[in-house]
Amino acid sequence: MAFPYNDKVLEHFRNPHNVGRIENPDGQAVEGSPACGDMVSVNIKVDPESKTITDIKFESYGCASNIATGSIITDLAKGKTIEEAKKITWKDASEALGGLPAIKVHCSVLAVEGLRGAIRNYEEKHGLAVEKKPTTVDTVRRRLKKVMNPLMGLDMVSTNLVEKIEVADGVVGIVINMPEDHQFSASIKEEIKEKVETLWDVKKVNIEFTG
Amino acid sequence: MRKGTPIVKIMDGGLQEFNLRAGAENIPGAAGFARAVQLVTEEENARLKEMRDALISSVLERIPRVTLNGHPEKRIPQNANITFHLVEGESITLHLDMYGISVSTGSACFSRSLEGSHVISAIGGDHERVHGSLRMTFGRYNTMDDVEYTVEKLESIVKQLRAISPLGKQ
Repeated sequence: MAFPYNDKVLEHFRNPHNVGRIENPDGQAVEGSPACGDMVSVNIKVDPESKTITDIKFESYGCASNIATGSIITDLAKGKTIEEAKKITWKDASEALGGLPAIKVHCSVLAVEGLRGAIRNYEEKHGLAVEKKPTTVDTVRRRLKKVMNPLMGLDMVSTNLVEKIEVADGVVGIVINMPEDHQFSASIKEEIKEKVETLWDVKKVNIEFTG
Repeated sequence: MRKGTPIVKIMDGGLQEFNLRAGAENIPGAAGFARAVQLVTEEENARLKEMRDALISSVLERIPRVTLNGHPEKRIPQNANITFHLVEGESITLHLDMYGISVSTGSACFSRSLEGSHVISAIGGDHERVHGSLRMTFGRYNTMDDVEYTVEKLESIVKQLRAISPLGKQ
């Protein structure tokens, strides 16, 4: 099978920029998990006055598109203010790389989420985070849109894997339309927990499988 | 073919070949298959096995955190399937390709369907083991030199990819 990558992607894959960790980072995030496939960690150093990202590093356990996106997104974010960096999208990264194959969206979007996560982590640590709103079914649905359906390469909400969401007294109930003994059920469950349990007012997440 | 062998036709149409294969006989295909079967000899199988075993033992010896997938002996002569933990298979495959080495991986990232190898899952491998698995097969044009070259490249590629991986470090 031919590899679906252009020369620019291959160059970033071979010699990725900004690889590694920062000691005592101002903000950090890990997106993905070994169970779901790819994983990216992002560390940032932020100038407290100008709120500029002065240094940024990433690590990747993933395929070529994941590594190349980590490389380009850290290039794009370096020197920008956190407000500017928050607005960098997967599309910006893909364009800067001269295009990525559509099937690789789920592998490469992790780096973008890693960057946003590290900024969010910085804001939370420095009291800059926006006010806390109570979790609703919509909040949960938005979080689940970040969990990939590994069979489709698209998120589990738009591929109709989510049958039902309930939120009551800090307990979130989610019904997933797939058999419990499916190849991916355990990793999906783990990822959902990661995404939903971190909501500030959620105490418990119950996941059920049907089908 | 033995009587009573349950087979299903893959080409529909005319009633040729006892209604099992529609269309005129594929003479070049039949001759090619016959020749291919002739080329499978005890000697050639032994040669392939030797390369396969050399590759498996060198990798297990020289590269840390690897798992051989399948049985050490009860396997087809030309196939070595090994998982390199903490790294992803497509990345290894792409690096090897740049050195002119063609292999395949069970990693979901490499397949069009984004589904990992069901075979490695079925023999008890978890998702991580599938993700870092590499299938390396030999043919009649390979020599022992290719084994050494491949192991050498694998050693440096896996080291390089583990260096940028967030896993396996504390």
